[in-house]
Amino acid sequence: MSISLALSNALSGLGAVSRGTEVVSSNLANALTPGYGARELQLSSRTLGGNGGGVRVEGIARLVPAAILADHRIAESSLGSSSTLSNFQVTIENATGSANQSDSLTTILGNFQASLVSAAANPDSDAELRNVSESATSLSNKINYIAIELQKARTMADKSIEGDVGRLNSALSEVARLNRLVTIAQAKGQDASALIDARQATIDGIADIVPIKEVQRDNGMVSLFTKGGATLIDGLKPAKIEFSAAGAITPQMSNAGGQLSTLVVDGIALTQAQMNMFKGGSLAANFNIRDNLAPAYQDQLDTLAKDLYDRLADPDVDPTLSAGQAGLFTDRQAALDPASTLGFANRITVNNAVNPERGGELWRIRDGINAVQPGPPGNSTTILQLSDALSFQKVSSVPGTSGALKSLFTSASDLQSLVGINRVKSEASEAHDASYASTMKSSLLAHGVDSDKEMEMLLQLERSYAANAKVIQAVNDMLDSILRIS
Amino acid sequence: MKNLSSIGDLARLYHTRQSNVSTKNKINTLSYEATTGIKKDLAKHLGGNASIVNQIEHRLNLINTFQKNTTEAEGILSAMQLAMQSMQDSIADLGPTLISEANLSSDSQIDIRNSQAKEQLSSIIRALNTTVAGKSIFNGSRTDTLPLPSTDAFLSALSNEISGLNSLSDIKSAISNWLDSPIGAGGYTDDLYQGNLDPSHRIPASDLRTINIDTNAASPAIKEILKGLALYSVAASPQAAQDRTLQRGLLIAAGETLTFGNDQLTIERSRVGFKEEVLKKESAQNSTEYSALSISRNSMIAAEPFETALTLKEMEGNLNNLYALTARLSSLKLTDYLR
Repeated sequence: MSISLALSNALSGLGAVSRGTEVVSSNLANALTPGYGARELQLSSRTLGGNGGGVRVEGIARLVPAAILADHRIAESSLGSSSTLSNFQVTIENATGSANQSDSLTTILGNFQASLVSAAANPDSDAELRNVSESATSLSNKINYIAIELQKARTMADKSIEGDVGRLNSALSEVARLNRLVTIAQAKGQDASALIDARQATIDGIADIVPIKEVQRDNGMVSLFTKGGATLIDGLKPAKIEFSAAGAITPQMSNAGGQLSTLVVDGIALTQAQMNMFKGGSLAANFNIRDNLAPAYQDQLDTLAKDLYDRLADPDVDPTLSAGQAGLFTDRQAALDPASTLGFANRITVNNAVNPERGGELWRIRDGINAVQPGPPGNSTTILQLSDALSFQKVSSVPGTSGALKSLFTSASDLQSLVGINRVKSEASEAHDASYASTMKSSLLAHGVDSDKEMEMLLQLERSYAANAKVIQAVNDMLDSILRIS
Repeated sequence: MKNLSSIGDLARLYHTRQSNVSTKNKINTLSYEATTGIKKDLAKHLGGNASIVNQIEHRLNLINTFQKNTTEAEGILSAMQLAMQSMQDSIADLGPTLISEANLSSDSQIDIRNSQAKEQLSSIIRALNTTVAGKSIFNGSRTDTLPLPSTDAFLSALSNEISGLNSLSDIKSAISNWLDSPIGAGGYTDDLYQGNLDPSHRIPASDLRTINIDTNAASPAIKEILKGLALYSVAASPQAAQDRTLQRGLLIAAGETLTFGNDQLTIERSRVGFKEEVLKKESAQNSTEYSALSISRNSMIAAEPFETALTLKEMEGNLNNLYALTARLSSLKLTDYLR
């Protein structure tokens, strides 16, 4: 009968409106929740055996632009990578110091050279000789400090990798769990939006570690791959990623030497080539710091330290030395074996022979490291030779710089400059990535809940509810009038 | 229904927050630059030129040290000139006086003249033993001892050398050999003179110039004067008084040697004077270089105050606008209009 059909239509209208209000209220409640996919009610007209009428709720759609979400995650991983690298460069630049700073490597080296020039005019003055000894100690301390900071950076990178892997693993098992729940909810015909929100948030949370590609699978599940092609989770099975941190790292420890590990995925240790599958996020950046960037700086610093050692260990400069002996600077009080230059920057120290606090004598700066007794106090020949040796232009063997003739100061200055330039470059990279990530995030958020739109919707729903209720009233009145006849 | 015509609430919030943070960061940097006058991020500002600033600062540091050195060197050289001046004051006239007195004066006048011999010798020895800040300047690199012992020690060493000699030529050659003997031959240079022949100071006055101060009590000019005074002392001894001919001969020889020695000392003084000139020149050049490098360095790292102040004002304006905008936008809500 048509009247009962009208009633049924009106009732379906009321139901749809109620559902719509529920959706609007959920949206408004979550207007400020990042990662919440704005819900929308999907309606279609109902067909009942060929006769139309009434409204059917198809379901609740979650409006998340998949392409923008994917781009946003990639942008986050790039940012994760460049900000990790940038932080590293800043740390190293802070360690070396930069131009115009009183505790930079170049200033400390310059002070040492100046102390020699000054002592040459007054070689009989204990105060001048002490100044030489102390400024030499400042120099070796500074070189040691930079080297320590490099190894600390490696240790921290190693630890960060361990932390990231932990985060990755827990996120992947969470995604597996949510995959299962989504499948179950959809099979039961329930609304799985909240579960999908949670799953999206979990995946977003690890977007900075590796660049992630999300692929939809059957039954509402997702699989995750890295951009480089490694499988992170396929449906219900997450990959098992392991990593063991090495504790305190020293210059001699490396991946090639076996003391430092790469990732172990499902029981297989990855080779360096296979590690490329994980590149693009903070994880790969930390590996890069630990295995490439910090060791490169270490190498340059070691070579610089060796140059300092060599210039002053020359028997032509200090005639009391025999060939192969340590001069003013030593390798922990012994001679430096050229084959063990790696890590020398950590070990370079001033010879105890000139340090009165360690049983040495200040006059050895003037009279030679191996002098057994003080010579004529006015003799500045050796001091002048020490000073000249530092400013002598030699072919620079610091890797990564030109092989031009350089004084020791120029070598140090070039290294310090390079650190500064690298920092500026990495910050520029980071700024660029940050700006791109910010744009992506803005776009993503723009597709979020718009409370103005929800309020309009609410107005419509109110009116619609009133209209449907009116229909029911009217039908009721009609039925009443029919029934009153009897 | 596609969301082409709505913009999520969070987008605006995110956007204003980002603008706020970035503007505040810029203001922080500009405030730092305005107060210190130096760019905050030097590595970025200088690009690849950071190395040049390092080199400039190194030069400035070294030039400071050089200037300190030249001041010290000037002090030592002028002390030397003073000592040599006092030596010349003593003996400049002595040479001709001795010769003329030997030829013309009576024995008693000569005796009076001879009584001053020891005092003359003492005043020269005192001048040679001059110290500056506790360090000998005429003793080679053995600056911790005095070049010559007492006058008496000199005189007794002298009398050893000429004991038993009676003729003028024997005495003259004995004294000559004693003072002129090289190192290792056991004469004045080994036994009496306490120093060595190395420069007493080698002072770096600039990159290319190290000033060697090498006048000492064994320099040829000084030895000539000591020879003359030695002859004079022998002439003044009681033994010489017994042979007046020998005595007068010795006085003439002393006078001639002292005259020659005085000329040599003048030459030595002009050598030292030349070093003083060189020092002055180096010092002036260092000064000029220092000023030029200072200006150059400052122009590279300075934050131009006008530009900084202008940008700061602009940023403050931006921040104000942002605040006003945020306040305005937050009051534009449909919800408010539905009351």
